[in-house]
Amino acid sequence: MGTRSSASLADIDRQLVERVLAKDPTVIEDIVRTYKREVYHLALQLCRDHDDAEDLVQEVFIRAWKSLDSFRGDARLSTWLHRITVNLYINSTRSKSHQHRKEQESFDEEYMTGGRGAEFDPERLYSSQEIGEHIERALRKLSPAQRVAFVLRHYHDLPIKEIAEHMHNTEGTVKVLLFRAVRNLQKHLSFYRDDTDEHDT
Amino acid sequence: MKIRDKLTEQMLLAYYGELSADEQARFNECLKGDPARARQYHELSALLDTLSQCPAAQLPAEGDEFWTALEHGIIHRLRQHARYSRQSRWRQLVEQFAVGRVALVFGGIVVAFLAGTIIGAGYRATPAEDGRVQVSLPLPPLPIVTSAPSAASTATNEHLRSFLKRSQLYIATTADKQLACKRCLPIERQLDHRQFAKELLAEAQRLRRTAHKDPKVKKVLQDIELVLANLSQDPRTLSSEQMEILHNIASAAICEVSSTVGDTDADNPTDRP
Repeated sequence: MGTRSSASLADIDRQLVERVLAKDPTVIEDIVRTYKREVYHLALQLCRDHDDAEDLVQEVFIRAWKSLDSFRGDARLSTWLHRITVNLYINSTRSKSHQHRKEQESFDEEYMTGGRGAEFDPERLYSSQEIGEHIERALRKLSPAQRVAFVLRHYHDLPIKEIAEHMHNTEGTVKVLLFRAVRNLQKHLSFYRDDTDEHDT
Repeated sequence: MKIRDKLTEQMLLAYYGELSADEQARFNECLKGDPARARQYHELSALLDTLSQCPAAQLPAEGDEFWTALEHGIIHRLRQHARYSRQSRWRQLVEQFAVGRVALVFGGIVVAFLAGTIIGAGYRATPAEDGRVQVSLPLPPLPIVTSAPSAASTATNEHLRSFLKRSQLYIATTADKQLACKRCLPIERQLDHRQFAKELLAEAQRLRRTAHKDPKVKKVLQDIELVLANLSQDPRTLSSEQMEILHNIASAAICEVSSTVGDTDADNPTDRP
């Protein structure tokens, strides 16, 4: 969260929660200013696209504004916003499941049947930009639920128990989702692992 | 889940520190005794480390205009939604109003009627400025629509008119005979004119008592009675002057009264003596 220390962020969060509970009508704009970056980061990691992430962030804050009355202050505002983000992302991807399947098929064709292999140059894998592109494609291959579980665990360092609360699932389900996500990533980035092994040897 | 998958899950949980202390200790022991699994764990850790080191989604810099634009975009949409929700609330109210529109119109009519009644009553009893009680102007009397003459009344009038005509004819012809009138029937050609005069006289007496309340008509009937009485006795006993006076009186009076009794029908058949 940039230069702000976690202590000051906690103070700001507490003040905002107090204003929310006091029904301050202007609090939503301060919530946006404080948490836009954090919410956008999560949205971008989930959507893997800046435009989609921007739309998702706007929807998150509108939903938050509509649900402010139901916020009881039991959790931190950031946690509450994360939950809204995850829910909206999963709901939005349900309607896009067909598109996701087509994307996945395209990915398989490009990377697994040699379509992409003609241009494949192992030497270029060592540039961070190339690695980033491959990781990007591998993450896009994950299903929305797997992506949420992996992003929250791996990039946001949330414990599985908390991820389960965010996703309204059991811990066992989250473990399975996380496991499948990592296995898919291993599969789709296997050429990189093999190549690095060869490179190491 | 297969055993191999279960082991991979254990590795994953171990990497993320989700294992309990006991589980972690057992897992470490297992890795020491199984080089293949240790290698697998090493590969998994390397992959996840790579994913951490190369975050696929790069955020714009802190001071980038992107963040200002994003914030403005979000706040703009929030304000739009706030405006729309206010409008929706109004629209909802209008729709609710439309549902009860019929009842409201009916209620309005009833209220207007009651208000008009109350205000009207108050206006009637409101004292004028000079202290007098203002009284509403009296309504003009309703015109009494006279009912059509009853059948009995019409029959009586017809009877009276008939009698008057017959009397006039009789008196005229009889008197004219005495006066040597060329237009009248000769007296000798008349059937028992005295008897006819008596019958007319009786009829006149009956009518005078019961038929008409008009004093003028009553007076005429009395005169006719007198003439008829004289004629029924012996007309020749009367002098010609007396006869002419009676004739004129009777004719004029009968003509005058006939017009007042009602529309005389000239074509009405008259009993000729």
